[in-house]
Amino acid sequence: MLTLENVNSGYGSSQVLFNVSLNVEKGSITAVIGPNGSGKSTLLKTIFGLTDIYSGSIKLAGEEITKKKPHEIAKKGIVYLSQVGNLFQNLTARENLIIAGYILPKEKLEARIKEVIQIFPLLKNFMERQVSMMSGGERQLLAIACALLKEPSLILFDEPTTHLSPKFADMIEEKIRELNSMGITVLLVEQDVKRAFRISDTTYILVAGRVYFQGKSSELIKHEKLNKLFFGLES
Amino acid sequence: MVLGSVLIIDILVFFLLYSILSLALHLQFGYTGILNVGIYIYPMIGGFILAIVPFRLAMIIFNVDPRLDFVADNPIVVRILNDYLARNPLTSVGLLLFTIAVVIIVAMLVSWLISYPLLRLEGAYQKIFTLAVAECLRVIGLQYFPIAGGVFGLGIPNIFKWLGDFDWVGPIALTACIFAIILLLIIKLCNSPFGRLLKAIRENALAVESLGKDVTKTQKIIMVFSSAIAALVGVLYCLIFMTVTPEAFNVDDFSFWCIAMIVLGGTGNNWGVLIGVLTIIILRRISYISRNYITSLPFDIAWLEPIMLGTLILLFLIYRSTGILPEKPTTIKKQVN
Amino acid sequence: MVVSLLIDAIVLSSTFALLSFGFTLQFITIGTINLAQPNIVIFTSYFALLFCMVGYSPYLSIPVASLVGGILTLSIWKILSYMKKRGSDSNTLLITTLAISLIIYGSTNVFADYISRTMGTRRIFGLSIYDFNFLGMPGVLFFSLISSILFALIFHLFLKKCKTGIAIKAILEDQSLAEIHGVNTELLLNAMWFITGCLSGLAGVFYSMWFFVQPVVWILFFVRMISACIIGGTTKPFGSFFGAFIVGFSEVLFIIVSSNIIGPGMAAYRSIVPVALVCIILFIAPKGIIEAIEKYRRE
Repeated sequence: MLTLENVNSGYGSSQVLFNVSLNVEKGSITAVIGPNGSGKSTLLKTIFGLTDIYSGSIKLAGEEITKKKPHEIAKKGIVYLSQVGNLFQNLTARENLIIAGYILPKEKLEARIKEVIQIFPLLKNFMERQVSMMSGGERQLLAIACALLKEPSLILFDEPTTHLSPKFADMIEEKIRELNSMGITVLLVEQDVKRAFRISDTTYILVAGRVYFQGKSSELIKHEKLNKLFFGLES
Repeated sequence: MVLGSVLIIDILVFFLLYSILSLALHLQFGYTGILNVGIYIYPMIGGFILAIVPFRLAMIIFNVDPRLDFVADNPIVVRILNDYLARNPLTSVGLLLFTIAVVIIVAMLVSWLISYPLLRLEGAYQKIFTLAVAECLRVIGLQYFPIAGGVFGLGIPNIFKWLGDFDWVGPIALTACIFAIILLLIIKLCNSPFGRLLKAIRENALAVESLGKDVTKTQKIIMVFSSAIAALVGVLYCLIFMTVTPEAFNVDDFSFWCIAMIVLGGTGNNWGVLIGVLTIIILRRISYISRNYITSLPFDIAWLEPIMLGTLILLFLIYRSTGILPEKPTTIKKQVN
Repeated sequence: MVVSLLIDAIVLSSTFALLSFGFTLQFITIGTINLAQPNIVIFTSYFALLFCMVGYSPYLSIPVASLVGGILTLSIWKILSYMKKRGSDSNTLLITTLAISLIIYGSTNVFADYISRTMGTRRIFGLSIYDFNFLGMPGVLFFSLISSILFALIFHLFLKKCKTGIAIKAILEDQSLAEIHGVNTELLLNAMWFITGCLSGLAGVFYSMWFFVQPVVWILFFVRMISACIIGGTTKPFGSFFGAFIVGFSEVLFIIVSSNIIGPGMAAYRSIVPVALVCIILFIAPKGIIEAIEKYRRE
């Protein structure tokens, strides 16, 4: 569904990704893991058009999206959930949902908001509350609800469970599986390696901006060299 | 040739004055990143103190008729004082030194006082609040006659009259001396550990703070120091032109031009600043002279100057933001045991 | 006398309310102060003079002044956003606006010279004699007050009810996040800056119809604008709007009180009032009045 071929990107003159090639199968959950500073967040940002792409190509369902601007990519059915700042703090939950569904026509937006509230019934309680007055877990739920609004075909998650209490982290993991079962493809950047292997079908390991390893999560977790080198796990 | 030599002295005088002021502004801006657009308040303070303090003092010392007022009867008093000053070199020098001391103290005091409301503002507003305060002072100076003659300004006696035929050299020589001292001081400062601290603050104040250095205090020290230097410029300016005119201390001449000089010459490089000063002064002189030759336009050609200056700054910011002389990397001299 | 001063206060407050509102919007979106904006106000007010000189009502110059103000302001935004993309820091952006303000200042003087030489006017002008009278009051009193209040109301409703309005609130808080959600931030920011430019044109015409204008007055405008913004709250456009009314009425109050105590001629010192107010506010409510009210409500 999403293909990256030899992508080189960065910010201005600082290159971060070097010849990255990646393939996300439709309907799968793909994880990207790696040490800090390896360019995992940059990878997601690159897909979404938020960095400078020097060379290479990014294709969504066969269509070239390399040079497109974020709001154009948003219209193609990709949603990007960044690590921080997913929501507008000074706006209410309802207003956040309205912005999230900005590209939808009016009636569709209202219908979608109703549908999304059914998937996240917790939201009903604080539709008119400002985000700055909500807890971390509530905000993450709202963020995912906002992502759902656009009926995306692909969601890019940047470390969705970091900074959350274990209870909420598990809830989010559960919700991601639920979204995937609804047919949404997921590309997930994760800090928690165990969680990444658990939830995903395929995993890519990014080190210093290059793809170091890739493979089925269930096999990678058993790979001897990997465990010793990167994760300090004795197999 | 007479015109040639006058032009060269003209350029020299403005070069010295603007160099001192630009170096002071650059110390704040190029080194600590504080852009003080309202720096012209200090030359203004210098000029006002020169108008208020020394000559009234001289009138008392020389027993000038108390019915005469320095401002209201300005031409008469100036003539009388010139006579006395010509015959009393020690008193003249004493008055000058006293005035300089008062100017430095008052400038530092004002800078310290302004920092209280200033530090409660954030970011860009902090940079221009001094401009608002400066305009207030200027309004007072323009409206309140007894300070410096309001909109008309004042003439001042020549405090170097005792030099006889070379009395015009006096203020210029003084300016040159102060220029030399300030330049040496600033160069020494900038090559010292303190100078490196200033650069570090400019690059990343937060990092410096976390290393245990008191950033606010350092910034305050620099502001107080450079405000004193800027105030001296006001005194020198008035001494050279023998007049104190509130109108002259405006934001264009004493702030914007200096910022242009720094941008052109090179931020972070003191020699660059001097080159910037020289370049702009020469450009200004050229434009001033050319006014005599281009008279057929339906507007005063003087107004093309700010347009040209603005365009020049803009071009440099876009295409050569490092200025003519870019900043040299910081080096530390090897310690020889 | 008091009636005249009251008109002073209302026209001054209304015009600066529009200016300060736009100024704060600019500040939020670019992160620095636009030194060139006051010069644009003065430049566009000369169009009102031009219209009067060729025999039309100055009110007819409003579309032209607004359009010119809008285009100039939009151009400034284009330059600033280009430099911001290149990574310029806030000092550089401030100096950029300084450079542009010099260019506009020189141009205003050229414009003023040209008009005065070809049409025989003075460089300093005031157009109150070209205004009409309504119920014994000058027309600009009603126009300026109604315009400013109407604008505030419409914009407030727009931000609350309209999808684009919510999008603007979103952009003002976090531009890149709004972009991610598909908001065409470039278009909306262009529109925002254009509108602030139109407000400048409008305000410039109103101001010239009661007060006297000359190019050098830009700095007085600037002092009032930043004072209104600091008093109301530097990141609160509606705060700046109200801040302008506080500044305008305080100035007039000062003139009334000081003229009675000290004597006539104190009006010349009116520009000190905004700065004095700022110093007071910075100690009572450093983040501005709106923030102080919100804080009080929370506790």
